[in-house]
Amino acid sequence: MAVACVYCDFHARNEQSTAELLGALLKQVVSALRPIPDVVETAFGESKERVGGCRLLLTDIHEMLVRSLSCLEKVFICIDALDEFPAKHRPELWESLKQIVRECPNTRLFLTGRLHICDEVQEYFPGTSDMLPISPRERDIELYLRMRLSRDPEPDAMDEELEADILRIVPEVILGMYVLSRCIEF
Amino acid sequence: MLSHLPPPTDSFDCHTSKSRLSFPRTNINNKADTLDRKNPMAHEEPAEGRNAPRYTGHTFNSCTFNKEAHISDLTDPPARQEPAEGYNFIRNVENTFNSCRFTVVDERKALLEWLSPLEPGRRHWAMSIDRVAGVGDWLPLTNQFTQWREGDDGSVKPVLFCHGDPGVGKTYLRYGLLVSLESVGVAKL
Repeated sequence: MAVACVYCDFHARNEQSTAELLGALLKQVVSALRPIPDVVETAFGESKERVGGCRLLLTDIHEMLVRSLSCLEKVFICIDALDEFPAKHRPELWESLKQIVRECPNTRLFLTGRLHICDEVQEYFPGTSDMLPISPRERDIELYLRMRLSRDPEPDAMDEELEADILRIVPEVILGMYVLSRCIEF
Repeated sequence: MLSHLPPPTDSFDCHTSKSRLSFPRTNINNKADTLDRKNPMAHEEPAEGRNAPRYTGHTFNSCTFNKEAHISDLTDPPARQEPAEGYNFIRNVENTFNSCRFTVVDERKALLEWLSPLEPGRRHWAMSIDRVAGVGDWLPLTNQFTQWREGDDGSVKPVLFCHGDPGVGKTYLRYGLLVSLESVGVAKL
């Protein structure tokens, strides 16, 4: 089994490309393989013979990725913050990912992004994708608050009643805000 | 072990699983050749301790010894019973194997770098410090996630898309996911 993961950073959007993203995944997948697949080894050997080296093309990366993924029993690919990947390159990325999933049934994609990316996911993966809405969970908020309370720089100013109030009111406000923002969105 | 070695000829090939190196024996610049032929065991105990490199700069046609190869050379078990005749050849072959092994390691590193300069890592672990234990533990327990992870190939939806507003913690959930999958790093794009 192998896990490969990249996250997209909005600040680097001008340099981001499908080739770069798939290249980062390919590197992680190949790292998990011993020996290195022939197709990758051969391409590397050929690249060394060319004067001045060469930049890998998307088609080469895609081919190597598919062949490398096929060497593994199960692979989880995680791409975080897809909304921060440049919109103009996303169709190309979706096409590549779609082919990868089709050609490598052992591969699972875990994607995250904002709501507006849902439509794109459903367009490229009709019937093959599942949507999981992420919202604040009361228990998560409570765990976080308890951690913060344990680091209280002025513990003398805290008493049981105040702590109970914080643990009751803050989650209510956060969850309330969340519901309100969902109402405004729809 | 020695029965697996190729016969002593003027040149020989060294095969590894993925690389094939061939070089004439006369090109091997190995000072082991210059050691006392009457007492081939003499070089097993370096005069200045085991850490002192005995010889440097072994350059073959297509591969170069590196530091690790020297160490490996020097830490070989000392018990050798080979006759003096042919000893140097055996020594050379072993050096060759060492060289190939370490060259493959370097090649692998160069190959991975060629595939992508992006290194998985830092942010993933920075997050492990920030993250509060237990937050997001519900994700791996959802039906969607367990089906996605455990389902048989071909019968399961291979794509799981987690969506949410900014700040709800998608990236922290991703971290929890990677922990549950025992991943080691994340590359920043």
